[in-house]
Amino acid sequence: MAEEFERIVREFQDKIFRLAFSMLGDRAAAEETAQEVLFRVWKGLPRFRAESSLSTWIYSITRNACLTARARGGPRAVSLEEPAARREAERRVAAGWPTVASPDAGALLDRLPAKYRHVVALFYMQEKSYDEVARMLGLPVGTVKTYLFRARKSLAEELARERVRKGAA
Amino acid sequence: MACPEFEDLVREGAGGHATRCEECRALLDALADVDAAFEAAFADVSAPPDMAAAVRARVARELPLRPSPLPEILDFIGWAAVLALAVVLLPRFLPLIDVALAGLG
Repeated sequence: MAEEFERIVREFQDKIFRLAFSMLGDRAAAEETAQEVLFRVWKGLPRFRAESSLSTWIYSITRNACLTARARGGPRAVSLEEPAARREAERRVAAGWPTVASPDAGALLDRLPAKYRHVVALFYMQEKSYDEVARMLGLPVGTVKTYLFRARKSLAEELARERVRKGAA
Repeated sequence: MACPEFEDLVREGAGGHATRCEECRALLDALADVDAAFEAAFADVSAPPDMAAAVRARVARELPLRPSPLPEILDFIGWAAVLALAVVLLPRFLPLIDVALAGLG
Protein backbone atom coordinates (compact mmCIF):
# COMPACT_ATOMS: atom_id res chain seq x y z
CA MET A 1 0.00 0.00 0.00
CA ALA A 2 2.91 2.33 0.71
CA GLU A 3 4.01 2.10 -2.92
CA GLU A 4 0.50 2.76 -4.16
CA PHE A 5 0.25 5.81 -1.89
CA GLU A 6 3.59 7.13 -3.13
CA ARG A 7 2.34 6.80 -6.70
CA ILE A 8 -0.82 8.70 -5.79
CA VAL A 9 1.17 11.47 -4.11
CA ARG A 10 3.39 11.84 -7.17
CA GLU A 11 0.51 11.78 -9.63
CA PHE A 12 -2.11 13.80 -7.75
CA GLN A 13 -0.44 16.25 -5.39
CA ASP A 14 -0.38 19.10 -7.92
CA LYS A 15 -3.92 18.44 -9.09
CA ILE A 16 -5.26 18.28 -5.55
CA PHE A 17 -3.45 21.48 -4.67
CA ARG A 18 -4.75 23.27 -7.79
CA LEU A 19 -8.31 22.15 -7.19
CA ALA A 20 -8.08 23.31 -3.57
CA PHE A 21 -6.48 26.60 -4.61
CA SER A 22 -9.19 27.25 -7.22
CA MET A 23 -11.91 26.59 -4.64
CA LEU A 24 -10.34 28.30 -1.63
CA GLY A 25 -8.44 31.09 -3.34
CA ASP A 26 -5.61 31.05 -0.86
CA ARG A 27 -2.29 29.28 -1.16
CA ALA A 28 -1.83 28.48 2.54
CA ALA A 29 -5.40 27.20 2.92
CA ALA A 30 -5.01 25.15 -0.26
CA GLU A 31 -1.80 23.56 1.03
CA GLU A 32 -3.36 22.72 4.38
CA THR A 33 -6.42 21.23 2.70
CA ALA A 34 -4.35 19.30 0.15
CA GLN A 35 -2.33 17.74 2.99
CA GLU A 36 -5.55 16.77 4.75
CA VAL A 37 -6.86 15.24 1.52
CA LEU A 38 -3.72 13.16 0.98
CA PHE A 39 -3.90 11.99 4.58
CA ARG A 40 -7.55 10.97 4.12
CA VAL A 41 -6.61 9.16 0.92
CA TRP A 42 -3.92 7.25 2.83
CA LYS A 43 -6.43 6.25 5.49
CA GLY A 44 -9.14 5.36 3.00
CA LEU A 45 -6.96 3.51 0.51
CA PRO A 46 -7.41 0.02 2.08
CA ARG A 47 -11.20 0.43 1.83
CA PHE A 48 -11.19 1.92 -1.69
CA ARG A 49 -13.09 -0.59 -3.84
CA ALA A 50 -12.58 0.92 -7.27
CA GLU A 51 -16.33 1.31 -7.75
CA SER A 52 -15.43 4.73 -9.08
CA SER A 53 -12.11 5.65 -10.64
CA LEU A 54 -9.28 6.59 -8.32
CA SER A 55 -9.23 10.16 -9.62
CA THR A 56 -13.00 10.57 -9.15
CA TRP A 57 -12.64 9.37 -5.56
CA ILE A 58 -9.70 11.68 -4.82
CA TYR A 59 -11.34 14.74 -6.41
CA SER A 60 -14.52 14.05 -4.47
CA ILE A 61 -12.56 13.97 -1.20
CA THR A 62 -10.84 17.20 -2.24
CA ARG A 63 -14.07 19.03 -3.05
CA ASN A 64 -15.63 17.93 0.25
CA ALA A 65 -12.53 18.99 2.18
CA CYS A 66 -12.63 22.40 0.45
CA LEU A 67 -16.32 22.85 1.26
CA THR A 68 -15.56 22.03 4.89
CA ALA A 69 -12.62 24.45 4.91
CA ARG A 70 -14.78 27.16 3.36
CA ALA A 71 -17.55 26.56 5.89
CA ARG A 72 -14.98 27.20 8.63
CA GLY A 73 -14.36 30.56 6.99
CA GLY A 74 -11.44 32.07 5.17
CA PRO A 75 -10.52 33.73 1.93
CA ARG A 76 -12.40 32.86 -1.24
CA ALA A 77 -11.06 35.07 -3.97
CA VAL A 78 -8.00 33.77 -5.77
CA SER A 79 -5.01 35.61 -4.40
CA LEU A 80 -3.47 38.45 -6.30
CA GLU A 81 -0.17 37.58 -4.73
CA GLU A 82 0.54 34.60 -6.96
CA PRO A 83 4.27 34.63 -7.71
CA ALA A 84 3.75 34.07 -11.44
CA ALA A 85 1.24 36.91 -11.67
CA ARG A 86 3.52 39.19 -9.69
CA ARG A 87 6.51 38.28 -11.87
CA GLU A 88 4.51 38.93 -15.02
CA ALA A 89 3.23 42.26 -13.67
CA GLU A 90 6.77 43.30 -12.75
CA ARG A 91 8.07 42.23 -16.14
CA ARG A 92 5.39 44.26 -17.90
CA VAL A 93 6.06 47.33 -15.78
CA ALA A 94 9.82 46.99 -16.37
CA ALA A 95 9.22 46.68 -20.09
CA GLY A 96 7.13 49.85 -19.99
CA TRP A 97 3.88 48.16 -21.03
CA PRO A 98 0.84 50.36 -20.57
CA THR A 99 -1.06 49.20 -17.51
CA VAL A 100 -4.36 49.33 -19.37
CA ALA A 101 -3.10 46.41 -21.48
CA SER A 102 -2.26 44.35 -18.39
CA PRO A 103 -5.45 43.41 -16.61
CA ASP A 104 -4.87 41.86 -13.24
CA ALA A 105 -5.98 38.23 -13.06
CA GLY A 106 -7.21 38.53 -9.49
CA ALA A 107 -9.21 41.67 -10.23
CA LEU A 108 -10.71 40.00 -13.28
CA LEU A 109 -11.71 36.94 -11.28
CA ASP A 110 -13.33 39.14 -8.66
CA ARG A 111 -15.75 40.40 -11.29
CA LEU A 112 -17.05 36.90 -11.98
CA PRO A 113 -19.76 34.97 -10.15
CA ALA A 114 -18.26 32.35 -7.81
CA LYS A 115 -19.37 29.40 -9.94
CA TYR A 116 -17.36 30.73 -12.90
CA ARG A 117 -14.29 31.60 -10.82
CA HIS A 118 -13.33 28.00 -9.96
CA VAL A 119 -13.73 26.89 -13.56
CA VAL A 120 -11.69 29.76 -14.98
CA ALA A 121 -8.83 29.45 -12.47
CA LEU A 122 -8.65 25.67 -12.79
CA PHE A 123 -8.84 25.77 -16.58
CA TYR A 124 -5.67 27.84 -16.83
CA MET A 125 -3.94 25.80 -14.10
CA GLN A 126 -4.74 22.54 -15.85
CA GLU A 127 -3.26 23.44 -19.21
CA LYS A 128 -6.67 24.34 -20.62
CA SER A 129 -8.07 20.83 -20.50
CA TYR A 130 -11.88 20.91 -20.42
CA ASP A 131 -12.05 17.19 -19.63
CA GLU A 132 -9.67 17.39 -16.68
CA VAL A 133 -11.43 20.46 -15.22
CA ALA A 134 -14.79 18.69 -15.58
CA ARG A 135 -13.47 15.59 -13.81
CA MET A 136 -11.91 17.64 -11.03
CA LEU A 137 -14.98 19.75 -10.35
CA GLY A 138 -17.44 16.90 -10.94
CA LEU A 139 -19.23 18.87 -13.67
CA PRO A 140 -20.28 17.88 -17.19
CA VAL A 141 -17.78 18.97 -19.85
CA GLY A 142 -20.53 21.02 -21.54
CA THR A 143 -21.09 22.99 -18.35
CA VAL A 144 -17.37 23.73 -18.03
CA LYS A 145 -17.27 24.98 -21.63
CA THR A 146 -20.36 27.12 -21.12
CA TYR A 147 -19.09 28.68 -17.87
CA LEU A 148 -15.72 29.38 -19.40
CA PHE A 149 -17.18 30.88 -22.55
CA ARG A 150 -19.55 33.16 -20.60
CA ALA A 151 -16.82 34.23 -18.20
CA ARG A 152 -14.29 35.10 -20.93
CA LYS A 153 -16.94 36.87 -23.01
CA SER A 154 -18.15 38.94 -20.09
CA LEU A 155 -14.63 39.92 -19.05
CA ALA A 156 -13.52 40.77 -22.59
CA GLU A 157 -16.61 42.92 -23.16
CA GLU A 158 -16.14 44.73 -19.85
CA LEU A 159 -12.46 45.33 -20.52
CA ALA A 160 -13.13 46.58 -24.05
CA ARG A 161 -15.83 48.97 -22.74
CA GLU A 162 -13.49 50.28 -20.03
CA ARG A 163 -10.80 50.96 -22.61
CA VAL A 164 -13.23 52.86 -24.79
CA ARG A 165 -14.31 54.94 -21.77
CA LYS A 166 -10.69 55.62 -20.81
CA GLY A 167 -9.86 56.49 -24.43
CA ALA A 168 -12.79 58.90 -24.61
CA ALA A 169 -11.95 60.57 -21.28
CA MET B 1 -22.26 45.13 -41.95
CA ALA B 2 -23.58 43.51 -38.77
CA CYS B 3 -21.03 42.23 -36.29
CA PRO B 4 -20.90 38.44 -35.81
CA GLU B 5 -21.78 36.73 -32.54
CA PHE B 6 -18.91 36.56 -30.05
CA GLU B 7 -18.41 32.83 -30.63
CA ASP B 8 -18.11 33.32 -34.38
CA LEU B 9 -15.83 36.29 -33.91
CA VAL B 10 -13.48 34.22 -31.75
CA ARG B 11 -13.59 31.38 -34.25
CA GLU B 12 -12.73 33.73 -37.14
CA GLY B 13 -9.94 35.35 -35.16
CA ALA B 14 -8.18 38.58 -36.05
CA GLY B 15 -8.14 37.81 -39.75
CA GLY B 16 -11.92 37.86 -40.31
CA HIS B 17 -14.51 40.52 -39.61
CA ALA B 18 -12.20 42.14 -37.05
CA THR B 19 -9.91 43.43 -39.80
CA ARG B 20 -12.73 45.77 -40.88
CA CYS B 21 -14.37 46.51 -37.51
CA GLU B 22 -12.53 48.47 -34.87
CA GLU B 23 -15.01 47.54 -32.14
CA CYS B 24 -14.65 43.80 -32.74
CA ARG B 25 -10.89 44.12 -33.00
CA ALA B 26 -10.88 45.83 -29.59
CA LEU B 27 -13.00 43.00 -28.20
CA LEU B 28 -10.59 40.37 -29.52
CA ASP B 29 -7.64 42.33 -28.09
CA ALA B 30 -9.37 42.47 -24.72
CA LEU B 31 -10.05 38.74 -24.85
CA ALA B 32 -6.39 38.05 -25.66
CA ASP B 33 -5.36 40.19 -22.69
CA VAL B 34 -7.79 38.39 -20.39
CA ASP B 35 -6.37 35.03 -21.51
CA ALA B 36 -2.80 36.27 -21.12
CA ALA B 37 -3.49 37.55 -17.61
CA PHE B 38 -4.94 34.23 -16.49
CA GLU B 39 -2.16 32.24 -18.13
CA ALA B 40 0.45 34.35 -16.40
CA ALA B 41 -1.31 34.02 -13.07
CA PHE B 42 -2.15 30.33 -13.08
CA ALA B 43 0.02 28.41 -15.52
CA ASP B 44 2.75 27.76 -12.95
CA VAL B 45 0.61 26.85 -9.96
CA SER B 46 1.77 23.62 -8.38
CA ALA B 47 1.98 22.05 -4.94
CA PRO B 48 4.71 23.42 -2.66
CA PRO B 49 7.81 21.22 -2.87
CA ASP B 50 7.70 20.20 0.78
CA MET B 51 4.02 19.29 0.84
CA ALA B 52 4.51 15.59 0.13
CA ALA B 53 7.15 15.34 2.85
CA ALA B 54 4.76 16.99 5.33
CA VAL B 55 2.08 14.42 4.46
CA ARG B 56 4.51 11.53 4.92
CA ALA B 57 5.56 12.96 8.28
CA ARG B 58 1.93 13.25 9.36
CA VAL B 59 1.21 9.68 8.28
CA ALA B 60 4.19 8.48 10.29
CA ARG B 61 3.21 10.60 13.30
CA GLU B 62 -0.51 9.96 13.48
CA LEU B 63 -0.62 6.29 12.74
CA PRO B 64 0.92 3.70 15.08
CA LEU B 65 4.14 2.16 13.86
CA ARG B 66 2.97 -1.34 14.80
CA PRO B 67 -0.33 -2.57 13.45
CA SER B 68 -3.12 -2.67 16.02
CA PRO B 69 -3.42 -6.03 17.89
CA LEU B 70 -7.21 -5.60 18.05
CA PRO B 71 -8.05 -7.76 15.00
CA GLU B 72 -5.94 -10.62 16.37
CA ILE B 73 -7.58 -10.34 19.80
CA LEU B 74 -11.08 -10.37 18.28
CA ASP B 75 -10.07 -13.31 16.11
CA PHE B 76 -8.86 -15.22 19.17
CA ILE B 77 -12.06 -14.47 21.11
CA GLY B 78 -14.16 -15.67 18.19
CA TRP B 79 -12.34 -18.97 17.82
CA ALA B 80 -12.37 -19.51 21.61
CA ALA B 81 -16.17 -19.05 21.58
CA VAL B 82 -16.52 -21.58 18.78
CA LEU B 83 -14.34 -24.07 20.68
CA ALA B 84 -16.30 -23.55 23.92
CA LEU B 85 -19.57 -24.09 22.09
CA ALA B 86 -18.21 -27.30 20.58
CA VAL B 87 -17.12 -28.57 24.01
CA VAL B 88 -20.59 -27.86 25.43
CA LEU B 89 -22.56 -29.33 22.54
CA LEU B 90 -20.44 -32.35 21.63
CA PRO B 91 -21.44 -34.53 24.64
CA ARG B 92 -25.13 -34.00 23.79
CA PHE B 93 -24.64 -35.24 20.27
CA LEU B 94 -22.25 -38.11 21.07
CA PRO B 95 -25.06 -40.66 21.72
CA LEU B 96 -26.64 -39.76 18.40
CA ILE B 97 -23.32 -40.18 16.64
CA ASP B 98 -22.85 -43.58 18.33
CA VAL B 99 -26.28 -44.66 17.15
CA ALA B 100 -25.58 -43.51 13.63
CA LEU B 101 -22.23 -45.32 13.56
CA ALA B 102 -23.82 -48.50 14.97
CA GLY B 103 -26.49 -48.31 12.28
CA LEU B 104 -23.83 -48.12 9.60
CA GLY B 105 -21.87 -50.99 11.16
